[in-house]
Amino acid sequence: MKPSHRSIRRLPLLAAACALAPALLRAQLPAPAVSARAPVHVGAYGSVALRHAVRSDSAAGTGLNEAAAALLISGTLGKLSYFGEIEAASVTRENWTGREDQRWVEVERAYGEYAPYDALRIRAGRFLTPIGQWNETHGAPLTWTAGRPLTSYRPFAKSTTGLMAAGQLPVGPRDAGYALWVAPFDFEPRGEGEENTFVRAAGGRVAIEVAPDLYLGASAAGFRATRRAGETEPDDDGDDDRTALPGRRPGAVHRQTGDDGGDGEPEDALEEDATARTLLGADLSWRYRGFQLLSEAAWVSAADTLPAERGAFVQAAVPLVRGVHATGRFEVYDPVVTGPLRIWTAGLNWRPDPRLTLKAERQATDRPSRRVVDGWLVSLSVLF
Amino acid sequence: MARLALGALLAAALALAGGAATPAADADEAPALLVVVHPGVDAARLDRAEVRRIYLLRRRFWSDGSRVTPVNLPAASPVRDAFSRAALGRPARELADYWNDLYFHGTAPPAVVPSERAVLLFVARTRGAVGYVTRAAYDAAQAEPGAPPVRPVLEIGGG
Repeated sequence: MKPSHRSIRRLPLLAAACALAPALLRAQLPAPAVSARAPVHVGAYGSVALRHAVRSDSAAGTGLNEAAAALLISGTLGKLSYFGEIEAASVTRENWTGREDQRWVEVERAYGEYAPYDALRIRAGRFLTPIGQWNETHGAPLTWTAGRPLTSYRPFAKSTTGLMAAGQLPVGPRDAGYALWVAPFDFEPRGEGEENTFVRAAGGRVAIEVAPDLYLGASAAGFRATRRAGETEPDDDGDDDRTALPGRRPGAVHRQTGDDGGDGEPEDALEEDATARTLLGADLSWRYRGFQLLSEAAWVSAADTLPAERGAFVQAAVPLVRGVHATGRFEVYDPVVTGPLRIWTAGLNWRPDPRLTLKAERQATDRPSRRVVDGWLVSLSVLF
Repeated sequence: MARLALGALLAAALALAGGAATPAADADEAPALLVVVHPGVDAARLDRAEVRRIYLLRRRFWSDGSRVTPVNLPAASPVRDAFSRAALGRPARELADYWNDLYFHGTAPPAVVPSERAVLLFVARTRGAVGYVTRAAYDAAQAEPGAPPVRPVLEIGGG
C-alpha cells in the first residue's frame, strides 16, 4: 500500500481543524440556540474519521469517513412535534486493491409525534430502531469511541419506517421507559450507508433506571430483512465465508446483488430472503462521577434453523483530566457461518467542549475485515 | 508519514487539552436554592424526584395537562452547577452531555436565560414554567415593588 493516498494527505487539514475548532466553538457556538417559543430549531453535526490498518495487506487499508447531518427540531407546538435528520456521508477506502469511494445522502429520521401524556407518545414516520442504547445515540459527537461495535447495528436495521408508541413512567423515585414499534411495509428506502433494511418488522423495548444513572434495558424484535454482506469478510483468504443472514436456511432462496470490489469477490452484496428472524437484546449503562460503563448484547435466530447470530460488548470510559477520558471496549461477535470475531479497543476521548469531541484509539481484532480494522482510528466530531 | 501525521494530531489534541480546563464548582459553597413555578401551575409542592424528572425532560406535562416549561441558567453559572449537583445528581457539565443526547433525539434542552432575575421574569410570564434561583435572589426580588409573581415549591440545600 502506497503511503501517499488522499486520506493521508488530508491529515494535516484534520490536525489543523482539531487545533482551531475549540477556539472557534467558544467564539461562535454558544449552547444550542433554544427559544421556548421558536417554531423550529435547526441543528447539525459533522464528523471526520480516519482509520489506518497496521497490516499493509489489510482489506481495511486506510480510509476516511466524512459525514454531515442536518437536524430539524420542532419548537413548542403543544402536544405535536416533528423531527428530521438528513445525513450526507462519504467513505473512502484505499488498500492494495485500489481506492474506493462511496457517497450518499439519506434520510435517517423524519417523523411527526403526538404526545398526549408523559406515558404515551405516538410517532409516525422514519425513526431510529429502538434496540439497545447505542443505536439511538449513535451520533459521532455523542459516542465514546470512533469505532462502532458490530453488536450495536449489524444484527438489525438502524432506521425503521412505521409507527411507534413510547413513553416514560415513574417507578418510585426513578423512571422506566418503553417503546413499541411496527414497520408494516414490504419496502423501505435503503440508503447507501445502511447495512440492513427491514422488510416488515415489529418490536419493543423497555429500559428501567434501577439506581441513580444505572439503566437496564431489554429489546425484542421480529423481522425479515435485506442485508449488506461483507462486514466480517476476512482479509486473507478466498473462502466465500462472508456473513450470511442469521438463520438462513442452507437451501433458502435468496439473491445477491452488488459490485465486484476488485478482488473477484462480490462485496457489499445485498442478501435477501424471507426467513423470519427474532432478535433479543439486553443492555446496561451506568454513569458515576464521570465514569461510564455500557454493555449490550444481541442474539438473533430464525424460527426454524440454527445457528444463531450473536454479539456482545462491554465498554468503559474513565475520566483522566480536563475532559479527557480513557476508553476501552471488548466485543465478541459471532456471525452465522464464520467463527467468533473478537475486537479490542483502547483509546482516548477528549471533549474540550460538550459539543466537540476528539477520539483516538487502537483497535485490534483476530479477524480483520474491510470494515473491522486492525489498526488506528482517529476522529473529530462537532455538534452544532 | 501516516504515523507522523497521527502523532501530530495527538500532540495537537494534548496541547489543546491544557487550555480546556473547566472551573469546577465548589460543592461546599452550595447556596440555598428555591424551585419556583408559574402561579397558575397545578402543584402546591414538588419533591426532588419530580424536579429531577422535569429537568431531565421525562415529565413534560403538569397534572392538568398543560406543558411543563423548565428554564435553565447558562451552563457556566455556579448556581446552575449547584442545582445540577443537588437536584439532578450530576454536575452541570455532565448534564450538558445529557442535553446533547436529547438534542440528537429531537428534544430541545430547556430554555436558557442569562440571570436569576431573568429566571424569575420568565417563570412569572410563561404558563407552565418552572425555574430555580438562590433564596437570596428570590428574597431580593420579592422585596421590590412589582415582584415577579412566582411560587416557590421546593427549597434545596443551604441548611
